[in-house]
Amino acid sequence: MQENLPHCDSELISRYYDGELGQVERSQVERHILVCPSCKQSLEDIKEISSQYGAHLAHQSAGMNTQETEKHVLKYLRRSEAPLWTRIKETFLSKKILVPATATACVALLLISVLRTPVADSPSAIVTSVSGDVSSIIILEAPETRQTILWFNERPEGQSI
Amino acid sequence: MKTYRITLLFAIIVSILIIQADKAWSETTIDLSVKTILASQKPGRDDPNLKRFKDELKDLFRYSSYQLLSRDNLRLNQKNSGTISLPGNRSMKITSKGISGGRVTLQVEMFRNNRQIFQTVVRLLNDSEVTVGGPKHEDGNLLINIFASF
Repeated sequence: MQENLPHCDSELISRYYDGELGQVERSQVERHILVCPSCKQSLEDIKEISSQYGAHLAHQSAGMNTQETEKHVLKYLRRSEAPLWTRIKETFLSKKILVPATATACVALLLISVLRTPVADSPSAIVTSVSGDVSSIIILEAPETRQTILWFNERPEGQSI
Repeated sequence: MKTYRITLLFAIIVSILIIQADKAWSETTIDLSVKTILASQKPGRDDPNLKRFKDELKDLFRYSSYQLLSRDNLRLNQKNSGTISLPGNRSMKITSKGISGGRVTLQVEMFRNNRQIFQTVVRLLNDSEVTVGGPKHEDGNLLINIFASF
């Protein structure tokens, strides 16, 4: 072989392993490997690296759902070809928009209810302050309607404090 | 993670919008209907239009008749006031102090001979009423019923 190949060629060995050589070159490399321990070792190293890389790749991709990935890719490709209106519709009906929109609607409803709805079963009016030149003040509440009533007894004229 | 960020952003924007809307809402007008009623023990004065009012107060007061003396409508804007005349040289000034939490804050002042004799600040629900009563008039007492709508 050494008479067939002018020198050891690691690139040629690599291409041999990858099956990229023609029949003539392939025979030359095979003959060379039989007599050249260095190139034989190179081929063994390439085999070992390739085997380890393959095992690692298989381990890494074990949890991958290739069907789902394919589905998404195809969907994306089809979508980019779809008319604008269809793309807009799909965007707004996608989970990316629907989930935030639903969550936002819930927040909005909560805020509106907090801001707008007074406490249920509360009196019609809450008396914040009351004062005056009066002898007495009573705050009442109608039993059924919970209407607030402020009752004061006016001082007779000329008896102000 | 991306969805969470978008959700948060949406929620913040909507919250700001709602708070702004609530602020704008608090600047809307308030319609007040003020009824001046004379409550007394004298028979024959009962106003059939005040039947609901009478029924509401029957457990609280012992009056036999309720007579509607006047009815006034006021339209108030934010921090705006209106005055109505009451019998016996009295008047009532009602000032709107704004709306928050589904209630309008009203300052109600009663004057006699232009001198303030009574004042209160109440937070009234929408489409609800509050009654201020007590001043003596003729052979009974005055009740001023304020109904607010906003």
